[in-house]
Amino acid sequence: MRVRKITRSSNATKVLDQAGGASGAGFAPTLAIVIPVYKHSVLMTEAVESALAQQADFDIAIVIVDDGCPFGETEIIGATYATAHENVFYVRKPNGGLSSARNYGVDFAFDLFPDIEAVYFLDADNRITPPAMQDVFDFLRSRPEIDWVYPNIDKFGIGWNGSYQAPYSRLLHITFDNICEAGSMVSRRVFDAGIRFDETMKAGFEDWEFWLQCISHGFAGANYPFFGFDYRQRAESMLRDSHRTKAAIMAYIREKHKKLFAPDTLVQWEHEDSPRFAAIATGTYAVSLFSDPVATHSKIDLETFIDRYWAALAEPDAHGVPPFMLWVAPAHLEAMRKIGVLHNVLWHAERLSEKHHLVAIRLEHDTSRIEIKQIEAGAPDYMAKKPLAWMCSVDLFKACVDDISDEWIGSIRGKRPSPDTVELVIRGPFKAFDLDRTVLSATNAFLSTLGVFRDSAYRRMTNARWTWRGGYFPAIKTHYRLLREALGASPVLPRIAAKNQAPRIGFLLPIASFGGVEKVAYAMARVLARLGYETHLYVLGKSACEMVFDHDDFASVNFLMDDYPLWGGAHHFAGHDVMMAQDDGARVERLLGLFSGLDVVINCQVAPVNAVLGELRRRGVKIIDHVHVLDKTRSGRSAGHPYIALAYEHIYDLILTCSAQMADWFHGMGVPDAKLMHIRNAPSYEMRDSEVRTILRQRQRRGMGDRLKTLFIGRLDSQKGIERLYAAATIIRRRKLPIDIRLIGGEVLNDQNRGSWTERFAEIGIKLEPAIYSAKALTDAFAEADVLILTSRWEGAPLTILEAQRVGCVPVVTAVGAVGELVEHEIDGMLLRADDDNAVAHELVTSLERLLGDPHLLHRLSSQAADNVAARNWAENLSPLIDRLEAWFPFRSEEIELRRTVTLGPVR
Amino acid sequence: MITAAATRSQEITPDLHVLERAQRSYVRKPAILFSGRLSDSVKALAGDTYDLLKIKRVADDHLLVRDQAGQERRLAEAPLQLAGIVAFDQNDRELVDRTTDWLQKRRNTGIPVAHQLAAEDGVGFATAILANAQGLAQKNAVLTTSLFRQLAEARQANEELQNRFAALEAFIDRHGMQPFELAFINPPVDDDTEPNVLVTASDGRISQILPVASVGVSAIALHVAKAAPRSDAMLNVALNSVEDGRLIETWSVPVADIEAGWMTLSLKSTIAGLRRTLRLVVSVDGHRLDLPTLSLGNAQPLDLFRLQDPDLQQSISSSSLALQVYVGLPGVVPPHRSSFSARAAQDNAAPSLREVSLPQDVLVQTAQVHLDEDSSGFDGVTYLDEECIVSCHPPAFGTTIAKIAGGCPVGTLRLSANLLVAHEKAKDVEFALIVSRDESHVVHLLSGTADPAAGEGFSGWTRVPAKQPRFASLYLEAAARESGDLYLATRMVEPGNHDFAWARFFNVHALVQG
Repeated sequence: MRVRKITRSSNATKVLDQAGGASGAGFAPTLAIVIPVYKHSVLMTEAVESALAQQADFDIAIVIVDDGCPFGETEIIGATYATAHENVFYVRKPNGGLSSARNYGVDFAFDLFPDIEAVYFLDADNRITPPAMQDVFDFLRSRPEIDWVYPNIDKFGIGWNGSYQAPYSRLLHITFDNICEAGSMVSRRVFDAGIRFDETMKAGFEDWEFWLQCISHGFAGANYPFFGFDYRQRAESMLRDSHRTKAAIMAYIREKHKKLFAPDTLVQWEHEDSPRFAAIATGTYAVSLFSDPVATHSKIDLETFIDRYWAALAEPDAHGVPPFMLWVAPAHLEAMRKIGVLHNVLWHAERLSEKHHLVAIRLEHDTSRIEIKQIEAGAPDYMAKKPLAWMCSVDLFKACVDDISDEWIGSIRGKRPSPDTVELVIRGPFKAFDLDRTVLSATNAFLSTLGVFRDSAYRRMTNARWTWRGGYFPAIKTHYRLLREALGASPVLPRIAAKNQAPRIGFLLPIASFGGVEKVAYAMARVLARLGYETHLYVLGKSACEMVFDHDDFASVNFLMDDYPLWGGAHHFAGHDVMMAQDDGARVERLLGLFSGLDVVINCQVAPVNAVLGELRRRGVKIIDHVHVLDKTRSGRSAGHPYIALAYEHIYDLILTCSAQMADWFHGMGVPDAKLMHIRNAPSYEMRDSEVRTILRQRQRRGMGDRLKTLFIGRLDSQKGIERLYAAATIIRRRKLPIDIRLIGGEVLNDQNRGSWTERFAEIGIKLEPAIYSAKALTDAFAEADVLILTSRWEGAPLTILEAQRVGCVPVVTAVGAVGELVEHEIDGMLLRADDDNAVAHELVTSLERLLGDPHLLHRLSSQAADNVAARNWAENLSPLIDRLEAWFPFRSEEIELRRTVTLGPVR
Repeated sequence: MITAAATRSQEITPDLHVLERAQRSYVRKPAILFSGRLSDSVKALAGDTYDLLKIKRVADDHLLVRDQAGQERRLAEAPLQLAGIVAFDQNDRELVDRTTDWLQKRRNTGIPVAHQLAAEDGVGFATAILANAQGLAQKNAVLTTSLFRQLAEARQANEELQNRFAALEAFIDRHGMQPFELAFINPPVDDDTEPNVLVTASDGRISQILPVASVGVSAIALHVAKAAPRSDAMLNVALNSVEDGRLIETWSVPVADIEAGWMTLSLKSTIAGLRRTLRLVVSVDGHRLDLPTLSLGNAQPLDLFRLQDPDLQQSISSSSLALQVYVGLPGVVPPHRSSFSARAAQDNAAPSLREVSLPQDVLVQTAQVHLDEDSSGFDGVTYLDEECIVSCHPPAFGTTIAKIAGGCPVGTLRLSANLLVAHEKAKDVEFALIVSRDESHVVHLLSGTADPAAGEGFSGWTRVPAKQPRFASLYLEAAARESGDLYLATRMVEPGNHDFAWARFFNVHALVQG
């Protein structure tokens, strides 16, 4: 049914067949133009005529889909065109909306002409220019990487011309607007993948949703700048109606395409489509473009970057460079990556670049801790050493390029730079080799780059807009703000998901010192990391953490680095101050940005962070609380994190407790049993079985000597019952009992102590030894001691007891908290059941005297303790949690299950 | 006695004759022409829907047929709706062919293909008639859709004309605005090292996407760094709109005529319609060794706008052509020294609008006329030759009037001038422009006691504060058929103090048709 066929040579066109061909023989359309019609019974003639007027070297089928239009003339006109032109097909269906009409046309076209290569959607009131289909099809065919071609918007009626010429950006398409008009040419690959318009969407934006389906399937679009698409705009239209109900439609779209709107997805697209950082390598001046420096990213030479920079100044909607520029040696980026702080450093530097002119970055070596410090002008250590990297916003850089004077910016060579400069100092276990690579100065690189830009031939440009269509899209350099708005987060941590899609678990800690809470978190992270989960540490109260964990336990270490209150809030719950999301101190946007991309959050007793976890949960993140202890106030009132957890119970998918007792408490307080999970504690650090056996053998050989060796290890504070210990020690000294007391720990200055405990113990001949943190030192201390003393007023399930028991050190401990779940009286330790301080001291002395007098009892308790703890390990204890994680993320669990079978069980 | 019936009969008899004659010679009912014998089955199929007319004879001026009633009918016209031509007798084929020829001489369309059928072939007969009907239906559909097309085109043309008229009205409402404006300039860069792109381009062809939308574009200027006065080549320039592939304008300019500086290429009419992207293609016919050097602008970071090879559509330079784009009213040519009109315009020589400054030899004729009694013989008119300024100092009371003889050239539609009170201490002054053939009428026009007559124009009074330039125009109802005089007038807004009232008319110019 060849009807109209025209070939074009360079300067002329030739109409091959203008009238309706009689036979239709040889009509083999390459393209179908689908024209849905509803109530545009007259204007449709313009659409059909423009389709008939196409000058193409291939056949085109024109399918008019009458979507049950109530106007009789639609049928008459449609049928008349089909009668007059044999490449025109008129079909009528019951009214089902625009989506159903388009789908009907697509299916009709493919049924009739299975070899069609593409479909063009032309709404009945719009038009296309004669060369449009040929030009656009050629464009589509010449670029196999694209699957649909969309036009600029040239409106007639109410005239408006908008340039959509920017490189296609999925981030923009998701977060800004529907940047692809329905009047696009779509490759058949899209339809072969089963993609159709959503027929439930009848109020508009069905085309937007269609493109989102395409994106979900990995298809991509591109703009053809000379499309020839004419969009009729009148004062009122379906599109205008759609904008009035946009919020509801968008809610539907967001719900349907949750994954597309997820932080992971959006940051990935930002990385690929509008990278946030341009890192100019000191020395080579190669420019890396990325959001996540660890992910695969593009690199360009400086000259290309300069081209893009000036193009972006002229037409920022269509051309762009990243909003932040960084001068750094790749080795230094790698050094930060190795210790797990790279993303966090970029996150901070981005924020600071918006507040200050420049951010100077310095790396310093520290084997025992990781720390990020922000140093402002005027501080003693400010710019004390040469920066290893610089960062600034591209706007600041532009101001420097425009400023012909070198005086201001040149001052960054000195220690008192004129630009408002803030310094980020990163301390950590860097290798000396990493830090040595400072021959090529980042400062020189910055200033040299500036010189190159200033000398550029483009500098004489007027920056006038050359594209006559108005710029509709936001400047590419502001796309990162669209990301922020979409996620309600600012800044957004620039980390994209790893390819293996391992679930990412964030452990939130108030501080990262040597406490039991953090030790449990580290132990859990270690097990989960070995199973293949991606674990991340977030320290919200301080910007430093002690390196108590192994390097491999966490993929990253992140600090909020803000004056973040770890307790309190404007609202009250059961005698506790709590914070809500709307409160000033909640820092919702910042924390959501920091936690961006996590699948699971385990809150390890950070009270105020609960204010933002609700929002995370709504975004699909699984929220777990891990509660360790019910504290006591000065007056003895039960208080602390368990109560906070009750206030926020709704947001928690799971509450982990260190004891069965705590789980019972929660249950009794109204938390459903299904939300509670008791994770038994185990020693916080690992020992090989052989090491343990050796120590136990030595203990057995040694037996109990003339004197009973006791050990107290912990804080010298009221919670630990230090007064009780002191009273017992006084009795022991007074009675001259053969009992040695070794005291290891630290004073707590604000503990309302009555004088220095160090001095008071010294007066009775007991020297306070400084706190020890390393696993070896702890093991040595436990191995030397016969008895571990713990006189706490309240406790959770102290790790110290388990660590002591493991090497046969017998715990003699107050029966508080969940201690009774760790120690069975006179089986693997001794429990002190008295409440009164004096009574506890006397019970302690009596217990020690019993052991002193009965070496067999000590040996029995020691052996049993070691045996009991030998069966405890974190991998085993975490099994219920791991099961739950696998249930939550079944699609990712295959590899984890494999690892689990290998990893479970104690380290041999 | 004559009955009423008889009267009626007598009255209508002549009409009946006419009607019968018409019915016999003119067939309105759908007709089937046939030859040979008509079988009963065919008759039954035709029913009463069709007139079955047996062909008897074909003559030059008529077709003789016999209808089913046995009456012979002499047809001078082809049947209005001819459903079929059928030969039931093979021997009548020649008669049928002649009938077809006869019909075709009288009708361009609607003559069906003749069919040869057996006398009893009812099915064949029905098929033939249906095929003809289908053909007719399709032809009608084609016709109908062509009408749809025309209607759509008319609708689009209406919208376009609406927009054009609205633009024109907007222009007219903006009294005194220039009829053309420089919409974009990419200034030339003085760089001797730049190669001559016309020489280096493959096939001597270059193209440049323009940075303005098509609508309103009236002229394009390219900058020539170096002329080639001895060249015998021809520079061809084509302007296309990219989205619809339309060739909008072409220029062919002898290279020898091109001077260094801006070379303005004016369109024969300002581009209207929907906004499109414009592409300029420059090529050379003839010897390419000695060609003018087209200037380039600054380095261009936008690849799309770099100078391109039109065939490969790839950049051939990191810059754009130095260019100016003018928008404005149709036919108005920017006043440039080196201007070239579109090729079609040269051929057609259609009348156009030009903005022309009043020549110095006219301005120098400026003289004061003492028409206003209040001015008390105050003498305030001076022509400042070097600056082409008419100084028209107002009196403390009354009006100063200057006359520029011949200041309204033939074809003038509008006269305009810039106005300035050139001293900051002056009080506000009012300015006016008048065209009149009757000097005595000028005062009446100025005072508002008379309206402009045919051939006259009055700008109205324009209040000009000190040191704040203003603009004034007068409009004539039709283009001036003959040269007329222009009067310039000033007066104090608040009579009494005319100190420092240095009132000046400058840049006096006319919009001239033809």
